[in-house]
This record gives sequence, structure tokens and C-alpha cells, in this order.
Amino acid sequence: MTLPIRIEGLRKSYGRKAVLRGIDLHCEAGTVTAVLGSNGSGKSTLIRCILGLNVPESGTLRVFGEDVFAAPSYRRHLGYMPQHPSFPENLTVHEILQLVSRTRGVAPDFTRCAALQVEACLSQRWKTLSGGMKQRVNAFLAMAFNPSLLILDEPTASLDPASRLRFMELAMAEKERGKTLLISTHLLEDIREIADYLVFLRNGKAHRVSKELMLELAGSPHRNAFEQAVAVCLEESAPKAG
Amino acid sequence: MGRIFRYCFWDLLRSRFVLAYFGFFMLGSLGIFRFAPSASAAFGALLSAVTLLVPLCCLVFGTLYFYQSRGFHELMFAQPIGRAPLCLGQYFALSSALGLAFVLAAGIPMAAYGFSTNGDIGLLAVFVGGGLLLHLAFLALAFWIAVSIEDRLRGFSTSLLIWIALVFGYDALVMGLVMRFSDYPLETGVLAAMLLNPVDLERVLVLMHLDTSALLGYTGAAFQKFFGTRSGTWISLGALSAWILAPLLLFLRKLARKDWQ
Repeated sequence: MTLPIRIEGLRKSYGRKAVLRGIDLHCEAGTVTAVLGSNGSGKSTLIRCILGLNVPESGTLRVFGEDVFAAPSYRRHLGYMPQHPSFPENLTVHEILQLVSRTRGVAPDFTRCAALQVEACLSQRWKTLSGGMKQRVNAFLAMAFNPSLLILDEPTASLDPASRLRFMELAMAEKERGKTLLISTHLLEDIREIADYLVFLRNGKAHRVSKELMLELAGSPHRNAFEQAVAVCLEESAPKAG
Repeated sequence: MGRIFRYCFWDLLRSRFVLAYFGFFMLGSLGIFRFAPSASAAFGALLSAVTLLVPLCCLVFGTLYFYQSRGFHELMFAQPIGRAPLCLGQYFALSSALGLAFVLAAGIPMAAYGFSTNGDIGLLAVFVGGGLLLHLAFLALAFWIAVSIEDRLRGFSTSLLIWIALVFGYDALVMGLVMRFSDYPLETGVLAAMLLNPVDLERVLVLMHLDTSALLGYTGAAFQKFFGTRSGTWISLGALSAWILAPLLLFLRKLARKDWQ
């Protein structure tokens, strides 16, 4: 069966600084994987490699069996929500949706993401939107084209609490529809419920742990225990992959 | 690429910078034609303004535009579109928007002040066409600088240095060499030197279509003999095209391996 993401021996450096030192990672269809790591651990670099934004020195990277660096066609299966969205400032939200829709060859499904209330700002220019509204349009663009794989980079970082809750409900709905999610975040409350696997990036290596094992390590179902166990994994040595 | 071009062009037509660019050239052109003692003097002043300001505006706005598009690139690279079609679409959109502003802002006053009659239509075409090629060349340079240099401040500094070098430094160097070796026949060397600078190419191409070349003496006659002919014009246009294609190819080569950070 073709895996949504399969990474083998991925290495990436910026100048002399090695950020990824041979990452081996895969994501099964229908699962949610959270990528965790301290600042500068390579979370964004890993996501950018998957998107084809960064070119690695070595290793293979396949999305649904397609080589990421061969052709951009694999991105039809992919929805991406960056941390800081940006579009040409004088385009309206409607024109932005048209541009993305025509590039993908699929019409957006407004009913799917009705909770984001994007219809309300269709006639507004991008530069007139508030930060939160931009992030909602960003989330809409990631989800509205029915992608099989969703990559979310710090998705709730600039959302107000109500929008954050709505967004997490949407992400959960996507999971229930059988979509594969890869989430990079610092906010453990975002992933506690939704994640099936946690990937710890440390010293350029990835350590994948199932949430069940993480809860087992925590020794208690209490939220604080889980968060403390994650913090220990991030700061000290990562546990063996489960 | 066509789709990106359409949407980016539409965005740029509504941008303040393009409107300011249009307004500045329009007011400048009208002012020059209104207050200059003669039409040819006005034309000379307008040519100086264009060869000075078009490279500067294109280099500064081109680098700024590419740097500001980073977030847009990141989002669009998550769509099924390659790097080259996306960035070339933006390049042609920016060239078209600034080029359109230039054609309207410089062309309308010229036409209004009598440069559209039969005798001058060729001059108008060379001036406007050369101006458009200057836009394409300097925007290609700007995109190449922006894709090559990650740091914005260094990118802007490089743009300004290239502007100073091509607009002032190159002429000073050529003039210094001509004066130093004034005892030798340098016409061929100076002709070749003109082909190596897009600003000089535009300037010489337009001047050779004016009567002022007669004032330049023997060198002017040599210039007129080369640039004033059809083949000379084609060679000059070829050299200007090379100034567009070379940085564009270097830009695409760098773009293919660029890391978005």
C-alpha cells in the first residue's frame, strides 16, 4: 500500500550547520502525526522538504509514492497551512480562491469548512483582512480542496481561542474522514486529543512514538503528566520508537 | 504561468507603487515638455530621466517584490505548480505592469507634444520600445539578485551598487579609458563597450535617431554609421535582449536549487 509520506535517510544542512541528519519517517494513511521539537530542531525544514521548498543533500522523500522532487503533481493530494500566510495584497479573497482553485483544477467545498466563515470576507482584499481572518482563509485553502494529506505548520498560533477550537474540530473531522495529518506545533493541547503518533526531532534525528506509549510513559491519564512526559522527551533523550 | 501572470498583473495594477510610478513619470514628462525651451531639449531631458530612473525603480521594486512574495511562494508551492512557471508569471506580470505605466506616462505626453507625426513615430517607437526592454532587463537582474541573496538588506545594497555601477560607474570608466588612450583609434572599442551596458544601449539607440549625433564629431559619425543603420539597430536590440535573457537564465538556474527559509 502506498504511504502518504515515506522519508528515508533525509539529510539537510544550511552551510556547515546540519539540521536533518538522516531522517527516516513514514506516516500511515488516516493517522495524525505531530512533529515536536525545540526551536531550531528542524521541524520547519522537514515540512519544507516534504513540500519541495527545500532541496535536501541526500535521501528519498515520497508522497503517495511520488518523488517530491520529480514533478509538482503530487501536491494535488496535499493541503498546506503555513504559519504566516501571504498572498498578493490587492487580490480579494474570492480572487485568491479562484487562483488556487484553477491551479488545482478543483472547486473549493464551502460546506466542508463552513465553520471558518470565509464567505463573509470573499469581497475583501487580502491586505484589509485581520491576522485571524487571514489564518482562517489559510485554513480554508488547506482543507477546502479535499486533500488526502494535510500539512499544518503551527496552525493555531495566531488564532483566537474560539477560532482555535473551531479549527481543531475541523482537523478532527478531517481525521474522521480518513485523511492523513502532519502537524508541527509547540502547543501540546492542540495534539493531545488528535495525534496518533508523536515525532520528536532531536539532534537532526526523528524519533517516532505512539501516543499510547507516551501516555504509558506519563504513567497517568492526567493532562499535566502527558505534557511533562513530552517535555522530558524533548529536553532529554528521546524514547525508543514504538 | 499564464494564470499566475493574470492574477499578479491584476494585483499590481491596483498597487500603490505602480500608480505612483505612473503618476511620477506622467507629471515629470508633462513638466519637462511644458517648461523645456524646445521639443528636442525636452526629449533629451526625458531620455536622461528614463535612463536614470527606470533602472533604479526596476531594481528596487523588483527585489522588494520578490522578497515580499516569499509567503506567497510558500503557499503556491503547496499547489501543483512548478517553481519556474510561478516566478516567471510574476516576473512578466511585474514587467507588464511597470512597462504599461511607463508607456502611458511617457508616451502620452510625447504624442501630445507632437512626437507622433510621421517623422517622429520611429523615434517614439525606439524610445518606448527601448524603455520596455530596459524594464525587462533590470527586473530580470532584480529577480536574480533577490533569489541569490537571502538577506534583504544585502539584496537592496547589491541592487543599488549595480545601479550605480551601470548608470554612473561604467560611463566614468569608459570615459577615463577614452581620455587615457585618446591617441589611439578607439571607435570600435567604444562601440563594443556600449553594447555591454543596457543603459548606454538605450541612450545611444535613441540619440542616433536624433539630429544631435551630428554634434558628437568623428566619434558621433562612427556611432551613427553603426547604430544608425538597420543592422546596427538589430545588433543593439540583440545585445539588449541578451541583457534580459542572461540574468533570467541565471535566475531560473538559482531558483531550481533555492531553499525557502
